[in-house]
Amino acid sequence: MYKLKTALEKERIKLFFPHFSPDIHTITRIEPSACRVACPAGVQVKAYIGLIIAGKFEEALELIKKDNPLPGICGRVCTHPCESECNRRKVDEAVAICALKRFAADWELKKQIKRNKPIKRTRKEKIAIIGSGPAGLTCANDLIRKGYGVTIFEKLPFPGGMLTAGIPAYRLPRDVINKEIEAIIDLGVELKTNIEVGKDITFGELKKKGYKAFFIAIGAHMGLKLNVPGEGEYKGFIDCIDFLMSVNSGNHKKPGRKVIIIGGGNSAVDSSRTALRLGCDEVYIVYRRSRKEMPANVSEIEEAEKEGVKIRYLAAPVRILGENGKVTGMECIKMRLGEPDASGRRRPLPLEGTEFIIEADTIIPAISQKPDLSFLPKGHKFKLTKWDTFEVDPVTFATNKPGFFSGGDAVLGPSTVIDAIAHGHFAAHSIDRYLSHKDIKKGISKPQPVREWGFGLEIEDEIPIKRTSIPKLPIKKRLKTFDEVDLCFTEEQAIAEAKRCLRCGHCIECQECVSGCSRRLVMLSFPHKGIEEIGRSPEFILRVPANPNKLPFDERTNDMVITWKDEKERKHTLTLTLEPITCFVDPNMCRGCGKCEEVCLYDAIFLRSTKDGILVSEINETLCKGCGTCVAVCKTGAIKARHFTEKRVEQMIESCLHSE
Amino acid sequence: MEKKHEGFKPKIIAFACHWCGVGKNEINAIEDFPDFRLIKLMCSGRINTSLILRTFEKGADGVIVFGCPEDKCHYNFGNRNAEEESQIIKEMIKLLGIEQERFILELDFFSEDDKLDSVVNGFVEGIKKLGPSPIT
Repeated sequence: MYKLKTALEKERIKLFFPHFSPDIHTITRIEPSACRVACPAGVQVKAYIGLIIAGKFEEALELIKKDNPLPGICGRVCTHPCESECNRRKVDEAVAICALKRFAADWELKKQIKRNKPIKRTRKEKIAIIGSGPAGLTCANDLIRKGYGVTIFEKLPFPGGMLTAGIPAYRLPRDVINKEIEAIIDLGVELKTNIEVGKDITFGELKKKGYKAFFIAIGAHMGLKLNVPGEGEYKGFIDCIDFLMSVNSGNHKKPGRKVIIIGGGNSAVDSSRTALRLGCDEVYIVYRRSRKEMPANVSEIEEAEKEGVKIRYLAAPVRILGENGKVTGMECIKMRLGEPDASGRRRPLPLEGTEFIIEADTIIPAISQKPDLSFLPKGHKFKLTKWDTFEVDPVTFATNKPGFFSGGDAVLGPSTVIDAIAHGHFAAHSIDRYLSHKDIKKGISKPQPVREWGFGLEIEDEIPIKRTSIPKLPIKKRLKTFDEVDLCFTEEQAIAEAKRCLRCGHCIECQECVSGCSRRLVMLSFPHKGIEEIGRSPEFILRVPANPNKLPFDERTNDMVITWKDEKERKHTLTLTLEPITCFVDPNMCRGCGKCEEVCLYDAIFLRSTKDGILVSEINETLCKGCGTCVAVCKTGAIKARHFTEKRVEQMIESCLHSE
Repeated sequence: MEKKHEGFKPKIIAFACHWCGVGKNEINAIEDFPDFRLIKLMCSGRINTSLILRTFEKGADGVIVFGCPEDKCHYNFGNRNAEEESQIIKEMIKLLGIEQERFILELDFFSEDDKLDSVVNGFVEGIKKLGPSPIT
């Protein structure tokens, strides 16, 4: 392949074949960008960053919402796998993609743009979604847009699942969650809170009511046991989900004076920072590996330490100590790191004889969670894994029972919001195929793994620019309230940060050309059906024949007719006309010498006197063959040829060399 | 040497004069050669050093120019112009490190029946031996 050298070649949109009118342009797109491939939901990162640079914030948000219906939530709590794949890391630091998404979402919240209108129902089938977390909401959003009737059943009195119950308000303000859920409910989704499917209403009753498919997205709310002596025997031993849920529902009583939190995930860090805000004097996190292995977001750990949380690495609980039915402390043992285990992290091993005691009056274990399966009827025939999660097809998200689908934490165990959103999309796609009586396995492919992205990337010329740091609330202000810690970018900051994007792969796929073309001539297509329809496409092309030499050109009419079919098998035709090859006279420059008249072989030029009595040569375009003899002869440069100008010839060379 | 460039598909740009070539079947048949891309000009005299150098710069492996035989030029002087220009071009590309064989001017291709075929095939074989252009 050719190296991308000159500035001309860097342009994304090119003139396709300069001979023809109207001009046809092609869009160069080499590969999907690394950020998009890294995202489980396939959000078009490069595109919305490009739109932010252009100041089109509304369009940027629209585009994010195609793949991610919860941009405000994801912009705050996402683990951003996109940033770890960013090619900008080869120059300096990754682009702050997550914060930019949040900026776009907040921009809409601030402006309070129109609310969603209900979508007209076109399908008679109804779908029940169990659980209103990110997976359930995404699935509902996709299915209602396809015209189905959708009902969400929620056990808790409020929607949002772990978003509302598990994530504290200083990370994710409640009004953001409420507004984004409202936007989905506005589409016509029915939300029923305080109803536990399986107990308040059984699956059989729901089937009788006309629900044809079920999406089980119950999340993972049940804390795992520590398996140490003294666990659960004393007062002051609270599971982290129970603790966070009670705080998030408004119970702001402080749990104790000295608090120990066991674990290293985001819920452990969340619990510690929540405990500090409730007024606890000392908060410890006990984690059995070192800081490098901690699964929580790095920025969260840093902020927790700044706020005053003390973290003991390489320590594990041995025994819970208590007196008179109350927790008094915890015996721990020091650990060392051994060989890497199956998860790739180094396995912690206890060091004999290094036991020590930490005094505390509250212990909050936050080691891991699993789905609470008590809602399933006895003798259910669901296939489960050994971690009590649903066993599903990795691509279609169908369980072993037909009509039942599952996704999110109920399948993965405790995981991320963006994974849950991706599962919601895939499950919605499968449910749609299931209810349309299509083979759900056909046409769906597994998402492609991240490839090494390198073609056309020129990082040598890039000047390192510092990553814009996210503004934060001062620490003194934070500790008394549950106000949001991370603040939003200003417009200038957002645009400056977005400009750091290298835009790998030429076309940024913003699709503005599609909506901008009033004649609907630009078509960007996804060549592979199935999962690619959702938004993960390896190729993204303008559908015009690629080889200009093979164009269906009709010499008699000077016309070229291109026909193609779109996804819905509608036929489109586009007629291009070859401009006649003629010369033309600029009458202001002609001095009427008559040399051209002498020289013309076709008698196409004659001299004519104007009103002012000046002789000016004129060309009869029917007779002119465009040979250009007159152009060569003209002393004043008044006659010019329409074709074969230097620029056009150059463009022809270019299009010839770049066509395959 | 030949094995080294196995599977190499050269990209050759052919410039052709409007009057002697394009519109006639012989030259249009060049489009069917997989290695050739045809660009028509009004006259072979339209080529100049900068145009040919641009073509090499953009990634062409070889350039061939077709023009009319002597004293049959539509403009009387076009093919003479092309010949003069081609001498300069050959000197220039040699200076720049491009092999001289990568550029030819062919003004006499329809004097014999199979002349065009032999010229074109010989040129492609020569380019295949040389391998990809040193510029790309």
